Amino acid sequence: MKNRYDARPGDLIKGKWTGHVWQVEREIGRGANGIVYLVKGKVGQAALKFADSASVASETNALTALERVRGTSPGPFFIEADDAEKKDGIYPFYIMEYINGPMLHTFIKEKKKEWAIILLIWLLNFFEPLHKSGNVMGDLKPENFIVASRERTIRAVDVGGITKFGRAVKEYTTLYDRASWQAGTRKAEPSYDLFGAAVLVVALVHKELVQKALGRPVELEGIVQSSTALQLITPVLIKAFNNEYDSALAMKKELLLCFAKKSTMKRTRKRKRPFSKKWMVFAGAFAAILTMFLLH
Amino acid sequence: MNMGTIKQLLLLTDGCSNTGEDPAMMAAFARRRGITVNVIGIVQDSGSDSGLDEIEAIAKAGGGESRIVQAASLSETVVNVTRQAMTGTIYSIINEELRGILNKETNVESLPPAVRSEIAEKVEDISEEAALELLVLTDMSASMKMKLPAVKEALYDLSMTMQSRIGPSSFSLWTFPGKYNAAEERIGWTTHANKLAESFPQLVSGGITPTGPAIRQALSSFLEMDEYDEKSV
Repeated sequence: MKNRYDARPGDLIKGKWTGHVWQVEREIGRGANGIVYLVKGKVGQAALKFADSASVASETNALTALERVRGTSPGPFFIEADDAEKKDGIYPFYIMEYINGPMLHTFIKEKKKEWAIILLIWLLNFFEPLHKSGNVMGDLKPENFIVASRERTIRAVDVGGITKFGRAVKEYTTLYDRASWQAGTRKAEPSYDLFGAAVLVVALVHKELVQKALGRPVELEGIVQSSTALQLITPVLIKAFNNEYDSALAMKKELLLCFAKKSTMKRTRKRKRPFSKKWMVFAGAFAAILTMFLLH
Repeated sequence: MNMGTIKQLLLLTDGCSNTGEDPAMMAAFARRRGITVNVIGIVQDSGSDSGLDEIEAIAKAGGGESRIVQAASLSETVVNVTRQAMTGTIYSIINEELRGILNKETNVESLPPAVRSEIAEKVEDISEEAALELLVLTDMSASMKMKLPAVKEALYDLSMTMQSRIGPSSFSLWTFPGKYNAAEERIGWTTHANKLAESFPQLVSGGITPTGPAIRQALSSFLEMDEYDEKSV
């Protein structure tokens, strides 16, 4: 970006078109195509993103497309787009809902590795309505997702990669990109996101190994097969790597089936070895979480 | 709206030209013929190399985008630059139309945000569906030797995105300096994007960096294609 609007905490940003004033609280994100600030306005806290005019316009479109999905948006709610006038030029920006919570990779840091599986289910819940609207997420890096843990959902905070079905994916990160793995095209279709989500989950647990394997899908499968944390869902991940799922729902169903198998296994084992109490507590906790999802 | 064909020349280089006419002048010439010139400068990991001003000047004169990157992030840059230059070309056509209808000062950026969003959607549709002619002109002077694997990978990556587009695209690969000329054609116009990376040469040519004359020669390829098109019609 050539000329960015660098704002400092306390700065007031006034919209040229609406006249609304936003007070900058702090910077919350910085990427290749813009800077995001946490701001305060009449409506309360919000996120403000400065970017070039074309990006503001196209991200605005992506955000409003997401809102048409259903009552709650898988991404932040769009508030308004505007321009800030400064002596040296005009700086386009837009305002969106501020989503608070940890990003995927920060979330998993404080948790057991098995949480990656739960995150995958949440991700699939995220994809379902998005794909129904005829769009893919495209850029699946963990920094683009926030865990809104109270609602037990994942929401997107960067919509720059959202692409209509049938087109070439707009933005992507190599590590989660199907074409970079030489495992398929870069065409926007559900299996593109599902491939990326599978890689994302493996990378949350084994980041370095996955980075080293980039471009060699066979090695990726090897990582999954030798992973203890992901053992339970190995077949699902491998099917996703081979583009065998064409909907998030189909993938989620098989994931849940993996759990079901596991819990019956536990029950039979319980009778033989009543002393493994620790395991029972584990399985119980898992089952409890599961039922919550199923009810959800 | 019929946008015709978007024509782009993408120059990949790592430094200053040192012989022949000014590359920025050649880029300006290209622009007048409806060809956008984009430039990506590939630098050493250590950071600042010379010749960066020239890179920006060429792209500016050629109405395109310029980026300075390390070899490691070349792939994503090549794709982004190509994409942004396409939307840039469409926007500049729209701006011209706007000026024709409204007044000299008007451009898309001076319109209210809601209108801009509508335009952006149309621009995206057009850039996805328009025909694209992309000529990649790669510097193969001795200093590029270590960077060639990254260039090859970037071309592979570019072909993946281009193949996923809806609209038709054709590609051509030129390198410079050539054996007998400032630049030589490695792959003539083809619709198979994967040929770019597959037949990318791995040997440097060494010696001089005649960026200006190389652009001039590569341009002839676009012009010949036009003549061919006219004949076939």
